[in-house]
Order: sequence, then C-alpha cells, then structure tokens
Amino acid sequence: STIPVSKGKNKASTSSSSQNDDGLIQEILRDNDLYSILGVPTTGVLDKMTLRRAYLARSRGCHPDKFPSNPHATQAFQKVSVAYNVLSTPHLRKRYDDHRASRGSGLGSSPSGDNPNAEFDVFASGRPS
Amino acid sequence: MQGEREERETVDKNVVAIGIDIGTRYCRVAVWQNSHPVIVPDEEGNRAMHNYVSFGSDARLIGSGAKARQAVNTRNTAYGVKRLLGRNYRDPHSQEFIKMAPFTLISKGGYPHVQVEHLGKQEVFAPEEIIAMQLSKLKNMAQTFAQSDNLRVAVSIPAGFSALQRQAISDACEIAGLPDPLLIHEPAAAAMYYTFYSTENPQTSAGEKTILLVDIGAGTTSATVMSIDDGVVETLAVASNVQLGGDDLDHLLVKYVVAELKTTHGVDIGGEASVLSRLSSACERAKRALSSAQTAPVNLEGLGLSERVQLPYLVIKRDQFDALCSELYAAISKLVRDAMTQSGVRKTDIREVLLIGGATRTPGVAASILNSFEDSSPTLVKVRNLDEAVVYGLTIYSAALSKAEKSAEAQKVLDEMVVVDVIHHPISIAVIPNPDSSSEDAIDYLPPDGASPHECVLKTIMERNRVSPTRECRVFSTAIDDQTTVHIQIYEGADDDPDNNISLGYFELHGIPKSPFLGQLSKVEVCVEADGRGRTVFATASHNSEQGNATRTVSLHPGKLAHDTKREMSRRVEMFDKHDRIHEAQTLRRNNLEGYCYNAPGSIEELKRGVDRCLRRLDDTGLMPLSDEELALQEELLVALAKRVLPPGYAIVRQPA
Repeated sequence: STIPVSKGKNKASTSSSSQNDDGLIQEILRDNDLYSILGVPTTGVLDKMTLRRAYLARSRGCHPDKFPSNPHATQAFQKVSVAYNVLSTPHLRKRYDDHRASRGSGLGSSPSGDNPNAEFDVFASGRPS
Repeated sequence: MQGEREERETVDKNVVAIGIDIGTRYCRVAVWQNSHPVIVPDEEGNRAMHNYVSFGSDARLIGSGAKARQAVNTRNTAYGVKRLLGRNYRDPHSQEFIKMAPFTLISKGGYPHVQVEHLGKQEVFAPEEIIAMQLSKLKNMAQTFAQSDNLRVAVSIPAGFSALQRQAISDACEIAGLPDPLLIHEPAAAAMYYTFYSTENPQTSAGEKTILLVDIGAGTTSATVMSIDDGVVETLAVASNVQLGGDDLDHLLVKYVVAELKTTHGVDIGGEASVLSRLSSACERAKRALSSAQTAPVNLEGLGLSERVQLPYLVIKRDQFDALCSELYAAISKLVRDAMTQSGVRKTDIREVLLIGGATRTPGVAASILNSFEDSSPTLVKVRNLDEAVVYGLTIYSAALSKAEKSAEAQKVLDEMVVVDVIHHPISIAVIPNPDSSSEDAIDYLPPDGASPHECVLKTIMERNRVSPTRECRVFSTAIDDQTTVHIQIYEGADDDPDNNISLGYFELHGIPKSPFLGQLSKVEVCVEADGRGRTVFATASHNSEQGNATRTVSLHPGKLAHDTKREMSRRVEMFDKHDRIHEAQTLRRNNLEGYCYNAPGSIEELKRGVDRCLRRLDDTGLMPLSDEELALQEELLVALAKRVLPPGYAIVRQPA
C-alpha cells in the first residue's frame, strides 16, 4: 500500500515543479523590476551571497538549455543576467535605485520611450519585436 | 495511467545520451549507461581513436588502423585536419600545417581541401568531410554499443574557437548524420564531469567554490575561471589560444633534434616530411617519458637514417626540455593571468586548480601554472582521467538534458545541473567614429551603402566573457544628410582593423526616412543577440520615428556550408561507409574461407581417424547388440568431427528422433 502513495507523491512533485518552471519564465517575462526578476527583496541589506544564490537559483529555473522547447527561456535568462549584473555592481545598482525611486513604486509599469534611464530598460531589449 | 504517461514524458528508454570529444589528436565517444558515462572502445579495444583517415585501393581505415597504415600509405592518409577547420588556404596557420603535412592539400574555393587517391579515383575532401567520416564511425560505434539509433549527442568545441570553426564542427556533425548536436565548450564539459562526481561525494561539495581549470590538449589551450555550486557551473572568464598545445612541445623537441643532427652530424633532415613525421612520434614518446623520468631517449633508429647517422638515440634531460619549452610555459602562464584578470577573482579565492588534457602531465606545465599563484597555493587537482574528462562531461550533460534513463539519485543530481557559459570572443560593429569622441554622448555613425571598409573602425558592443545567451542594443546615427540606407557589418573580435577579425556577416537597412530638419541625422538602433550555444548570431537594425519605421533582422551563419553541398557530402560519407561495410564483410568472408582451406586437411584427417575408430568399435563388438547410449555416443563423436570439416557457416542439424 505504500507504493501507490509514493508514486502519487512523485507525480505531484514532478508535475508541479515543471509547471512552476514554465510559470517562472512567464513571470520573469512579464516582470519589469530587476529585484523581482532576480527574486530578491527590495528592502534591507543585499549581500553578495544572497544575490549570487538568487542568481544561481534563477539560472537553474530558466536557462534555455533546461527548456529547449520553450523559446521564451532565452529571453527570461537574459533578463535575469542583466538583473544580476546591475544589482551586483554597486554603481549600477545605485543608479538603478535612483531611477526606480524617481519612477515611483510603479512596479510593472510599461516603460516609456522618452525615459532618460533607458539603459535599465532591459524589458525593451528583451521583448520580441 | 496518468502517472505512467508522465513518466514517459521524462524518460524514454530508447533515447541514448552520448558525448563525442573531437580533439586535435584523438577523438572519443562515451555512452550514458546505468547512470554513468561509459567510454565506447573501438574494434581494437582502444578508448581513444586516432584522428587518422586512410584512403586506398580497397577501403578506408579510420582510427588506429589508419595510423598503422600511414607508414605505407603516407600520401593517402589524412590526419590532424581539425587544425584547418574554418580557416582559409592562405591563413598562416593553414600554411604552416600544409607545409608539415605529408599528404596533399589543395586550395578549393579558397579553403584547404585534402586530395587523395581512393578506390582508383582522385578524390577531394573538405576538412569537414574528413571530420564527418570520423564522427560517422564514432556514431556507429555508439549505436552498436548501446543497441539503439536514437541518440542525443553532445559534441565538444575547444574554448576560443571562432564562429567559423564552430560552424565547421556543426556542419561536420550534420554531414555525419548527427543533426542538431549540443555544442559544449571543453572547459564547461570538464567541469560538468568534475561536478557530477564531486556532488556524489558529499565531503567535497561544500557550497560554492571558484576554481581555475586549465585544459591543454594537443592543439588548443585554455584557462577558465569557473564557479561551481550545487551543479550550476558558471564560466566567469576564459582565456584561450587555439594555436597552442602539447603538439607544440613535440615540435620544439623535433626542432632541437633536427638542429642537433645538423650541427654535430652534418645531416640535414629539415626537408624530409616522412622522416620528420616519424621523428615527431619519437619525440612525443620521449616527452611522455619525461613526465615521470629525469632523462629520456629520442629513438633515432626507426627514422631510416641508419646510413647517415651512426647514433641509436639522443638523450634529453628534463631541465633541457623545460628550457626548450620555456616560451610555451610562459604563454600558458599568460593565459592563466589573463583569465584571472578578466574574471576579477582574487588569486586567494581560487580554491582548486583543475588540470585537464594530456599535456598537463608534463611537470613543467603544472609547475608554471602554480607559480603564477605566488603566495596563495590552491590545491592542484588532477582528475583521475584527465584525457577523458571532457567526453565524460559531455555525456553527463547530454543525459541531463535528454530523456535518457537515469537512476533516481542521478536524476536528482542532473536536474540541478546547468552550464552558464560566456561568449569567448567580443562582437563588434563597423562604424565611422564620431570626431567628437571626447563627449560621452557622442554617437558613432553607421556607414552608407558602398562605403569603403577602411573608413570604418570596430566598435565593440559585446565584450568577451559576457554571459550567454545575450543581447545588446546600441543606438547609432546615419553618417550624412539624406542617407536612407545603412550598411551594418558585424565582426567577431575587437581588433581596430576589420580585416584582422572574423566577419560574421553584413546587411543593409533600407528605407530610412529623411529627417524633416536640415542637418539632423536619423537614428538607427542595432541589436545583436548571441544564442547560448555559440551557433547563431542574430542582428536587428531598426529605425523608429514620426517619419516612419524600418526594421530588418538577419541571422548570421558565417562559413556555413550550403545545404546542397552538405547533402552531397553526406551522401558521399554514407556511400563510403557502405562500401567499407561491404568490403569488411567480404574481407571477413575471404579470411574465413582461407582459414578453412588451411585447416581443412587436418580436420579431414581427424574425421578419417574417427571413422576408423568407429568401425573398429563396431567390428570389435561383432553381432553383440549395442546399447542406445553407446550408439548415441558414437554418433555424437562422428558428428562433432564432421562439423569441423564443413566450411564456415554450414551446420549439421540432427533430426530429432
């Protein structure tokens, strides 16, 4: 009687994890905030290790090698790597934080074309044309 | 039912994950079996196949057989052609190889091709075709070994290979009937191997660690700084030299011996290709011996010089050898320093130095790498099998990304595995520089259609060691008023002179609307995207303004063979494979028949004696009835003897009573 139980467990875990992963890719594609793209808190101290762990976890979750049949994985991964690069480079992060503050807490707001800080607009370059 | 279907989605028992490592000197193939990579040996039991293809009047030989036949079939035996992949005929590196090679290389369409006599006809093969012949053999070995032809293949690419060289490997795979292979850089593959076996051992996998991996093959060398954490292998920086390797150590030794023979014996063998090729093998053996001994002889007896040189061998001391190679050691140390600087990792943060590739066995090589660490002394890790690490790693990653069958533990480890690689060369665009380059906002100009390339300089838009897949956009402007077309040229490399880089391709964006304001130039955004496997570069140029829009996207495949050419090459490779199989079957049959003819008289003699024995037995017993057992025994004895008289393939089947 233990066999069907463990089988059921396995089934549930594999199916939910693969759904989650595809969901993560969708989530990252929709997201416009570097902090949530990387999955790290916006407040408090962000040390190198935390960023690194988040980056490695996200790499596992959306690297295109892992999702050969999902054409969006490449884009999602590119966004993650830009987010990691900006947030782990102090002067880039400072500029991004300033930009983010001036934009208000407009999470997920659509990027405007005349934005002077367009370099952080990873979403524009990551969006299919 | 539901559960079963899901299982089928993740596991397909027919899928076999394999890895193929194409080296400069050897290639190897491994198959994922029982949740481990297993090397497939060739027909002689060798775990590595020599990169030799020998042509001739009867059939091709590929691998060790070809190497063995080289001495008597020198002009028809091609080897080492990997060095020619993606290079044109006039390239100095091609020329150097062509000068040394004892077989004929001709220029066809500007690219070096191998010219041989095969089956009584003159044939010309592209380097891609020669590699494809080897790949086809490796594929067949793997299929026979795994008893499946549903292969998922990962193939190695040396670190630092150019876009043209990567494309050539990819084309060779397609010609060999291995479409859409997973192309993995060698250092990443080796790190996979290391990770897979260190995660199995919990003592060695404590959190993230930064390592330096030095891979010195026969013809390519790389130093890679990597971070390894729970199966995620991230390349932080790589420095490579695709013209440096263990073969160069041999060449230096050859040069030394040639000079020595000239000065002390007055014999000049500098121009004798076949003598040099044999001397090269002798020097390689001496180099190997020097890895564990302080002195080693270079054997001169087999060179065919006995009439001119009265010297059986020349003794080389290890420090003499190290002195000869000091420049090479320095070049290796330079790569290590370069990779370290690029990665931004401090020397003290490197926990381990991993050595891969046969040439790292040379003690001077390892010493020079460790010397560059000065005070901090990282652990030197020599993986158990430094020649096979790459092919093992390829097979492991191929299994991780495929539906090949895995044990529960292996599945868990492989699920966590991913390689985050970087681009090994910068990507640049040809622009006309803005004269006002002091200003940070100065936008460079894109040349109009037909502009001379010499007005242009290269603007790097992606630095090397950038995480891939990657995408980058830059805004440029038209160069002159009323310019409606821009010419976009994309290069791999960052040398100021476009000619010193590899052209990935070019295209034009037409129909850029004129600006209504006099003297105002139009803006064009150029986006470049490199895919994760280093196979494709996409480029998009777009103009968006109130006056109108124009966009064009192209995918760049520099040096890619035309589809029809590849089909024709594929057909040829298949034809030769088929011919060889038929030839092999005929040879076997002939050998069997010959063997039978030699053995038959003896067997017939034995049968005669057996018949006599049987008759005597029957005579002795006279009219006494024989037991069934006794009769059966006599029958068996005779049938066994009669069987040996029959030619191979024939059988006596006793009718059931």
